[in-house]
Amino acid sequence: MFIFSLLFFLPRPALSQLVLGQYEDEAPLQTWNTFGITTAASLSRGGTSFTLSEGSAVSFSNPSLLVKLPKFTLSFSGSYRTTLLNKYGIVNTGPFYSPQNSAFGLYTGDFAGISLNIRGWAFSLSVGVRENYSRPEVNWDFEFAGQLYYSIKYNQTGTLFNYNFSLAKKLTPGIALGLGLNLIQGTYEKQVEEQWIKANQTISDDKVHDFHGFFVNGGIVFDISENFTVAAVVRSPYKKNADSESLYRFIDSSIGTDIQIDSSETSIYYQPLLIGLGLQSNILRNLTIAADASFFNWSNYEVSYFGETLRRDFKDVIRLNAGLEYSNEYPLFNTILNVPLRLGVIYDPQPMKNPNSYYFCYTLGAGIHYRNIHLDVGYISGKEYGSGFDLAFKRIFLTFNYVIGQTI
Amino acid sequence: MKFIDKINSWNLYAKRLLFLLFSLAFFLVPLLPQNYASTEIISIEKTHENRGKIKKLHLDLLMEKDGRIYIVADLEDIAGLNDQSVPFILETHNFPPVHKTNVSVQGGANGDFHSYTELERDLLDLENTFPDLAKVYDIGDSLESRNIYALKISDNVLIDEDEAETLFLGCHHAREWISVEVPYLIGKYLLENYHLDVSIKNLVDQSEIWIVPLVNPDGLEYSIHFYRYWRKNRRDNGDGTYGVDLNRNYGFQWGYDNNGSSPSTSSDVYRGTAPFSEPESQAIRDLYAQHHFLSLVSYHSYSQVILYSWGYTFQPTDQDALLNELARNMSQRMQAVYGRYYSFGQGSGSLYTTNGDTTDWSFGTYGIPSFTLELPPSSAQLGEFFNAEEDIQPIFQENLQAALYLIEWAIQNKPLPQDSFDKIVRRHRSKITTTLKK
Repeated sequence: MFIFSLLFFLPRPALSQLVLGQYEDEAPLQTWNTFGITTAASLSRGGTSFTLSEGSAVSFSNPSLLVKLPKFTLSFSGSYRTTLLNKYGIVNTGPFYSPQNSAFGLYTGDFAGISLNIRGWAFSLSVGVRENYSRPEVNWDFEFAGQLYYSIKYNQTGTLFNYNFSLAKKLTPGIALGLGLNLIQGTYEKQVEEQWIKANQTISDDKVHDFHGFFVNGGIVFDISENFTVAAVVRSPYKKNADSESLYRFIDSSIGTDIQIDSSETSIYYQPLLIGLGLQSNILRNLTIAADASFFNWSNYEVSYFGETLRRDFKDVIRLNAGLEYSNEYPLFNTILNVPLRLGVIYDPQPMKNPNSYYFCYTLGAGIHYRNIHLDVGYISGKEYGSGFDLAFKRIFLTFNYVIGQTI
Repeated sequence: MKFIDKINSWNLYAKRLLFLLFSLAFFLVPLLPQNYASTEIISIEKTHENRGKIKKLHLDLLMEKDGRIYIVADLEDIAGLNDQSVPFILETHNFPPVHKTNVSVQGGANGDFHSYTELERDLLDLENTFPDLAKVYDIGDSLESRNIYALKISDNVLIDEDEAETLFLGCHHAREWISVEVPYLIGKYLLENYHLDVSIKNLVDQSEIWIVPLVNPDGLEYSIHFYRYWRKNRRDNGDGTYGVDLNRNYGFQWGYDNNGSSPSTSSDVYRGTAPFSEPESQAIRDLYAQHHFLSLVSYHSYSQVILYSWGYTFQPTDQDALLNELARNMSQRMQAVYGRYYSFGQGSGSLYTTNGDTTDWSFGTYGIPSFTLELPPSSAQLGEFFNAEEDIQPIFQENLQAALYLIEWAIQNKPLPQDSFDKIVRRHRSKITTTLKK
């Protein structure tokens, strides 16, 4: 019932803007601050993921939490989001004007992973979608007297995957340390094509990036008392490398003109260092609160695009996450049905200096944990302040965990 | 075949010229600047006899090709070959020049064409390589705070001498990528050949050449990264549209009618809210205020045509004969390079009417010969605003001849201090009138 009530909140296409007042291609959908892989439980708890564990997705944010997982977990997570965008690609930046924000809906499989936790050692193998570069398509035709004269098309898609292998060790009964090795791999494709039908002319601009890179992340978690835990996490700065190809082309099929200006170069997106702190407290027997603070060193962000340094006027930002979880336990067929309820808020400042912009998000969610099956649903509604475009986004997550053993 | 023949004939000419210069180098070497190479590459016929002589002279062999032996030789080596009566050919020009600026291979998404940062790097590189001849000035900032650069070329470049000043402008319109390359390459050519070609030296010594290869840097970047056919600058017009046509934003007959420019913000020829409302056109206006230019070429594409005032009306100027004569001479010189013909004529009649453009403003305000030079291709079917990368050099080479002619013209027609420009123009016009009568 609760899940259905969540569906009621699913928006009409709502808004989100990634490149606020700018039009950089590399902007991930929704927010620049893409540390960790969000699943339903952590998302609905305000995105807190440094001190609380549920499934091997913790390896992306704080791998030391793997030692708190059950002996075995198998996890899948997916989401549906609706966003509106204002400025992107050719839309509202010059050639193509849209008086309203552009609607965009997207289903994604976000995460899959397994973890093992045996005698104080734990490891995980996971894959997650770190960034998505898709944008709403543009297909516009100009017809007159029933004849097509001109058309313009814009299409941009792309996904960045994060493959993670993490290892964690319980150093003492209250302290654990974890390290994650991460490979990233993905693609990005953009095409703009114009056709002048009567003149038999086509111009096009194609860009393709094949991404790859490596970074490490690590974390430490310290149970100060039975009811109070703190954690520190770090992600190394790294190069998101891309084998990039560009092709501009003019074709006039009436006389066979075909001019191509192509280029193959390496592009590098220097991703920033991240440092995070988290705390968690069981303030009541069934009530847990958690908060994370993440420092993104965006001021060192650089882009070498096709071998050419591009300007990005970014500042450091600190993202704040806070949430709570209330556990309801009901006996069912000689075992316990656990129904956690979660709420949270996120303050997510964006790195560009102009406009100075941030998202403020509300989250909520619930789960059904019965025997080996844990099913969680999370919902986030974010609104952006600062750009003047009245932007927002909404997203619903569904995460499935199969577990053997007890959460520690 | 015609194209290849032209290249071959140019190569032959270059070989002869370099051989002459090389011979002169024997006597002038102590006077040459430090950054000149002390070695040359020469070739001799591959014969048994020559092999023996080479061995005796301990020459540094480079390679053998097509029956010739290539040698890296210093002046002493060459003197030795002379003593041995071994005929040789200077081949240095066929190899990467050791005395030139850092070879600029454009990267970026746009192939061999310059982006803003590539141009910035290459202009500063020219300044560093030729500090006595080249100086880069930042003459203003674009809307998105990019620098608008002007390259000044002259002897005693740091001094504002009383010399004939000629101005070359490029890329008012973002999508016209070739219009960046031509003025930039003209500047590069003048600097690299200053010590090699006495005629270039004379031009540079007697004049001050100003080159602004990229008037619209924001637009160019947008054209490269987002929309290839972007034309205007990046003004946010506040109604969802972007851009002012910089070549309709100058302050002479601005907004004369709605045919030669448009009051509509969404139009590709939107003239802006006022004359010189845009910082990019302001930068050019201010540059004029600080100098006494005697001629202007503003490069655009496409159409392969040389245009002169007026653009805003079909009425000819009172100096139509002079402008026509200069345009004709430029066109002839360009055609002589590869045979490509640039038509020429009054702007309004040759292409379409324009108001608020650079050329009308330059001529109407300062009375100097001013030309809009629409680079190839000649028609939309041949590529519109696209030029193949391999066409950059041929287009530059033919335009170089027109540019050199105009610089020379400015030198020849520089007013004496007590003269007004009008007197010079009148004098010149009377010559043309006389010629026409004949």
